Amino acid sequence: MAELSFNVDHGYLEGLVRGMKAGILTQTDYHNLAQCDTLEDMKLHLQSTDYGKLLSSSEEDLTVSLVDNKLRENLVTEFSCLRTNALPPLSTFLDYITYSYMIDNVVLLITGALKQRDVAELLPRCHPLGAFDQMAAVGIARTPTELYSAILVDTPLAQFFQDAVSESNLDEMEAEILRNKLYKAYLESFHSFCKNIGGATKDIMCPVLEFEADRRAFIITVNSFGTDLSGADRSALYPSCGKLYPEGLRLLAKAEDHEQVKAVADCYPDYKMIFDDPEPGSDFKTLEDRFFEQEVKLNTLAFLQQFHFGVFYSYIKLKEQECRNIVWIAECVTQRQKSKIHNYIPIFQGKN
Amino acid sequence: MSGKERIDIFPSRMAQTIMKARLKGAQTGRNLLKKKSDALSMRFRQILRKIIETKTKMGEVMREAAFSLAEAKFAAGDFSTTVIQNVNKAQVKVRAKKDNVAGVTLPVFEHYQEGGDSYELTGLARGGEQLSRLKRNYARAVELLVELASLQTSFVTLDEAIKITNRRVNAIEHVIIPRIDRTLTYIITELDEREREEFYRLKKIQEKKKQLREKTDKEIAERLAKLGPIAEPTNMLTEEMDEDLLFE
Repeated sequence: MAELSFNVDHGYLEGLVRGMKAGILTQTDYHNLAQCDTLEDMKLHLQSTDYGKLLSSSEEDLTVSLVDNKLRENLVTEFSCLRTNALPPLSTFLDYITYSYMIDNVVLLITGALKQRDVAELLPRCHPLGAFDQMAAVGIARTPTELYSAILVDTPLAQFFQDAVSESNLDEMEAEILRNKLYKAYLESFHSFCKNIGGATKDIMCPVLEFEADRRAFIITVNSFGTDLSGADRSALYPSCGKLYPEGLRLLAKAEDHEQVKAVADCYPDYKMIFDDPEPGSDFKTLEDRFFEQEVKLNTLAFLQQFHFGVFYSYIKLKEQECRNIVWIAECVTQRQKSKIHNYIPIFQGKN
Repeated sequence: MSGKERIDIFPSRMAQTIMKARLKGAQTGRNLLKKKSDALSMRFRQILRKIIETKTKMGEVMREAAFSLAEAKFAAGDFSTTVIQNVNKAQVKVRAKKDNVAGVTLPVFEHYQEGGDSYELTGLARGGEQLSRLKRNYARAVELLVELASLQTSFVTLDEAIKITNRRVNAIEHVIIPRIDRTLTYIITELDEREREEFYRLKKIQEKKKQLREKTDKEIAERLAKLGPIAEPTNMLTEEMDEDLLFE
């Protein structure tokens, strides 16, 4: 019966999101952008898309980082517009989306505070979507434990800290390990939240989050070959809300090289495809690229159903991917490396 | 350069020997310096060729490194702040060593790693492969940069050294040796002249002596003729008959 009451609270916002989704760049747009020879050309092309006058209003030199910043600002504006008009449970859902950026910001601030760096320098480098009230106060703390007990306890991230760390080992933990542990707790929490909402949201969001969890498990395993990270440490970082739990995760923790990881992937039909060797003659795609493609595919599926929150999550992720694509094309154009310019991840084919 | 100077020295046989020795010394010196200059020039040309090679390679490597940075940013998001925050000590350091070429010390830089890779776990969850490729590319770029730095400092030092040595060679060849030559010729001419003078003086003296002798001889002959025949005392030796002899 969700269909009947959904539009009462969230219909306006869903309509808004679908409208914004229609503005996502299509294959023809990417093709045009890839033909450009300078950033100026790209600016002109972007003006004919939904981005409109985004880039033409600034007086600074047109560089790739400027493009990146403007695109991110755009996303932040759209998101805040959605968030301010949201009612629960949509507001909680949107908050969950911001937590992942908040985790990155917190880890950055913790490392900065540890090295006694001025927090005011770090604040502009934090991701705007992950801003929280106590950010400026982080600079006062001298050790991570102080940080935790004084400040982080009041943020919404406190629950993740509880699962992930105990106060004693917050000091010695490396920034990356901390980040991954927090993210694991976050994913699991998000997953159970979506399950509780039930209905179409659960049907759409849970596969997406499970894929994210499994993807992280694979990538952490592959990237930890050759480093000091042991199997036991690794398994503390694997989120348990994916399809790989529990058997696959156990096997991954024991894997020592790429072949063994591939063997684990072969047991699951979805992931077998990703790890398969490409046919000779086709472009070489890295593992990351294939995971990106799969993520984009799952996200586009969200728009096929109505009356659920998945559209918001998918829209944000797709918009981010689009930002990355545009920045990639811009970098290729400025560095004159046209050979790899088509390595972006296409989102929508043709007009829709 | 004035061309008529010579060293002021009193011309004597000793001075001539000294000058000859100095000339020999100057010539040996000039040859040695020329050899040094040739060795330095050879090394200079080698370095020049290597610099050109390294610079072209540098262009390629930097381009590739910048591109792999773009790739890593695509896969891993913006990790620049994480990297900057985690900096504490330098991992790649440079040592300066000395190399000796024909007496010229050239500085040589070599890089070495210290400590482990503190960014091992960056990009653990996203983009790790691109990040490690990025690290390798920039490490190669840094190596090339250090090599290029050594080559360029040696280039500049060698250039200086070659200029100085060539200047010295030219100075010896065009100033010192001609000066000694001129001094030597001067000494020799002076000595020759002195000999001639001596000779002339001796001849004159002999002439004078002869004239004197002739004059005295003539006077004696005249005086003799004036006196007439002189009664000479009995010369025992010319007597035919001896009265004292009893028996014959």
